[in-house]
Amino acid sequence: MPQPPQVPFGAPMRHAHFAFSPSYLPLNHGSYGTHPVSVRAAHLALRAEVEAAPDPFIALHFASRLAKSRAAVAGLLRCSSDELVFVPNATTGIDTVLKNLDWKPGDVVLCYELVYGSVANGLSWLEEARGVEPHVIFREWPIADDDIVKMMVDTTRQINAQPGKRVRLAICDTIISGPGARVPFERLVPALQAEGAMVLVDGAHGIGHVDIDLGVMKPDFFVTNLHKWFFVPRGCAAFYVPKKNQALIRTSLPTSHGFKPKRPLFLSTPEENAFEELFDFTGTSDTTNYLCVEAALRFRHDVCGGEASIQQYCRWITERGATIAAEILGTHIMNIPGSRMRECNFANIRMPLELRTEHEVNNRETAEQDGKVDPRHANAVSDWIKHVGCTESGTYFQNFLYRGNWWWRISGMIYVEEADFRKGAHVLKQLCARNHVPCLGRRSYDETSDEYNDLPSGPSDIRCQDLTIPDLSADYTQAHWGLDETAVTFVEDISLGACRIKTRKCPEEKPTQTPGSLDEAHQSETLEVERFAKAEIHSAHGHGAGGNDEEPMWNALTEGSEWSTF
Amino acid sequence: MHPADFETAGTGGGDANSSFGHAMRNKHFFFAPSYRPLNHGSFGVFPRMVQEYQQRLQLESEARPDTFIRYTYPALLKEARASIAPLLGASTDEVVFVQNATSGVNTVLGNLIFKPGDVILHFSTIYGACLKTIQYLGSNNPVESYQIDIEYPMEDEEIVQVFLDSAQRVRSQGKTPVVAMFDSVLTFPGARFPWEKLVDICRKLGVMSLVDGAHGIGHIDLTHLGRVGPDFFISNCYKWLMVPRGCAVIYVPFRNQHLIQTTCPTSWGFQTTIDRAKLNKSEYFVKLFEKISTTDNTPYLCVPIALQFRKSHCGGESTVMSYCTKIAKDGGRKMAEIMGTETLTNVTGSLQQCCFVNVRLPVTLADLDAPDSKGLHIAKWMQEKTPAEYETYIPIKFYKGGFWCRISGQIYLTIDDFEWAAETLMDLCKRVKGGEWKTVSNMG
Repeated sequence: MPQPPQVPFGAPMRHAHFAFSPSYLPLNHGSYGTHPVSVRAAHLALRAEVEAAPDPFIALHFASRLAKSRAAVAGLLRCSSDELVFVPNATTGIDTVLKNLDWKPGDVVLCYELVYGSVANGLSWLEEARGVEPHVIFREWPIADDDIVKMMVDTTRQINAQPGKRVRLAICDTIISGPGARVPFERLVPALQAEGAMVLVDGAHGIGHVDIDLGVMKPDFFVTNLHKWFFVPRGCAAFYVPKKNQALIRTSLPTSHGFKPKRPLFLSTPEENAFEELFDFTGTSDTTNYLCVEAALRFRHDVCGGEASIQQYCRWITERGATIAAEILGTHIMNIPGSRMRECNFANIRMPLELRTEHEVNNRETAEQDGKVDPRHANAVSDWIKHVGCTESGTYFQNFLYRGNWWWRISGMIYVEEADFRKGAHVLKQLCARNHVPCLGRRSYDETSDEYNDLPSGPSDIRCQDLTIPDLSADYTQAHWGLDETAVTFVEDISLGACRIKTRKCPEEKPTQTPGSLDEAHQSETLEVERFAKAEIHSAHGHGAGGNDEEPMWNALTEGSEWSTF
Repeated sequence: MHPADFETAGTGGGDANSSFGHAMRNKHFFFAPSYRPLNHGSFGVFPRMVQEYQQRLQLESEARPDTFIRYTYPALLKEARASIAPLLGASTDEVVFVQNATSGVNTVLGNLIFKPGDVILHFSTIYGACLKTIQYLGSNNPVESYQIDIEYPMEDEEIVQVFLDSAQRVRSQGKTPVVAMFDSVLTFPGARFPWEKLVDICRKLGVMSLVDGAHGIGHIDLTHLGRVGPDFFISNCYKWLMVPRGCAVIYVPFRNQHLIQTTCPTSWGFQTTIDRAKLNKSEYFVKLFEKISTTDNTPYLCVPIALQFRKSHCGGESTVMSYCTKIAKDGGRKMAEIMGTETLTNVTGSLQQCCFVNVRLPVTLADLDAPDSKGLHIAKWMQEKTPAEYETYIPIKFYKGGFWCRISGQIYLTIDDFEWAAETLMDLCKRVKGGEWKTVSNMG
């Protein structure tokens, strides 16, 4: 009988069992997960074992020890352990399927617009390299469950009705990443299989988050990250392929020792465990984390009181956190009647930002006072909030611009409580407010007068300015500066989160190298800026209250958003 | 937290004159006291100083996961790339990291576009997983492979000649050798390969050269690599550079970067050909590999600290590699003396210009009254006995009718380790001669 946790969930759990920095507010568990200190200890012990005698551990004993971890996970997901292998992460598992299937002309892969980014790219590669047609259903979320099922089934039927085409594979999620939304996957799998399609369920957000019964679901392929919601150190994912489909998976990704050619050059051992052996070793890396499943299970049972207890708290705190956030931000939570999208540890809260319309943009007089975001800056806002939230307040706000609106995705977890979301929401509110300040433009800092002066707008007017932007990573700056390349060159500072920007003094000269490379001939002053450690001190002292005049407002043109990773 | 901060931190501080051998081993490495580490080449090891730094990084990745992974990591990654590029005589933006050489080889070969008639040339000494990769590729793409059989000992000139002959033969069959894959240092036997000469030949023949330098960085000097100019080069850093597993570098000179479209797996950085054409030429390659998929990539970030360790505690790359090469040579000679056998050499000694030595065991099939077909099994039996009963690991293979072992020279070894190896192998051979190998029923 699982006991309630001895250490209460929330901040006490965070302080007792997790290793977050005290200045870090972890409201985004969903992207990379984390693991408790006890699992880390188990991991360290495993690593020490390897270093004491590497060869026996890696070459001889690992596979059988891995079998135990795999069996434990297979038990939880309710499948046979010879149908379940470990891969480093969901992206690898899914791409293994995409690159293995014997695609035929006319094959179509079906997905919806919120398919995970790297999977979308995998499909693009398939299209380019293998001529497989990806079919994306473009429809705005949120969508009621019935409608999700209907749209996928109807589209499948439409495609199948076209001569020479068939939906060979359909991809759906257990829980979509961005927005964070549960999908009626239990209904989609049989519905699409009934139309003759194989179904690949992207359960990246799966084990430890939502109930998975592979014996009932019976997907054709399934993958779930253990490092996201199961407290196993990254990266570790379970990859499920039922026996009936194992012959389709010819190779691991990368191909390695376990590959068995159809025409063997040498006598090979019997094919019994071919699928498992294929993935036992796919190249040397540190896979000691795969063996941490038992330690994670122990923690979840002994310290947290079991899966149900964890899930109950996470659902509750997600609901509370979302409500609090919506209240403070003065907005609402994404939902729609007839949807179970919120039956998970994600909630999406609308951010108090609005995009200026084309008409409003043209009406320049009002534009500057309306507090809205210029469309030219739209893609940069999300990344700016992410970065500034981190550097100023130790909070990473997972946020994104989706079809013209900004959303904050929160992750409920056993180590956060209401006060955390209250604090986060206040910080986010202030960050959003900073974007509303009129006259958003590039500003230059004059060291002699200690003043910020607005630069003329328009990239072609920027010449020979020395720019000081504290606490932005060079990568971010370079990506989003979007200025005329002939005016400015950048050199990245390679230390933690700090940025060194160089600008050219001579407007007539053109750079001989692209931004990001050191152009000796065009060096000007280098302005060393605050290091990351100091940004931490700022945030510990409550810096970033949002009203500091010395903070230059930053806003820049950009062509497109950097990775909106989830 | 910066590699420079670790110069004198930790238990290894201030002893830049730590001598090689047991002092080095006890002070800087983690081996169980009774374990004899004679097989550095397979999985590598890393010293305390590097481990401490890696652990700091790992702690940071849990202290602030998003901050570390999204912002800190890319900056440190670039630093790591910048620190390793000079070892390959390359530019920073010509090198990227992946988990291991197998991944690297899969990435490169998986990107090449083949047409009917195309042939991949490789030697019979190719690493197993690489052969599997080529086989898989052939099952899915219009490309064949052509294996060039070689048997050691061989002189460099012989290798070059047989390569030329093979390319010629393929052409005479109306086919096109498009890429040749060969090692910098072979896995088994452990032998330096005349890769520079072959790269040159490939260029003259119009064949792309893919050098599998799994045993490369930190093992042999590669600072001339950029000048030699292979089309692709892949090397593990966790093997001989004392970086934690897994970490390998893919070198793609600027002129070839347009050939690399996707990582393995395909991920965030991928862009279609059309979209990619809009980008600045040199932007794509580096960005492509910056974020592949979620794994613990802290090993990549340990390259600078590993180099720092080798410099401040081991006297630098040349010193390390010289010692490893010499101890392997001297140790091997000693083993051959004790066992009454020989080391694998060629006339010029070129194959021994590496940190491996291959010594023949004092047992033959004739001694065992066993047929050729049992050679593999007997070798495997012996090899598996070494960790099971002798607290070491010695790769033993049946090669050219004899039983050979491969020992890896390293800075934590001295001659007496090789003497011990010889005595251990003699004991093993005695047991083999006693027929113990026959009692094991399973082949696998």
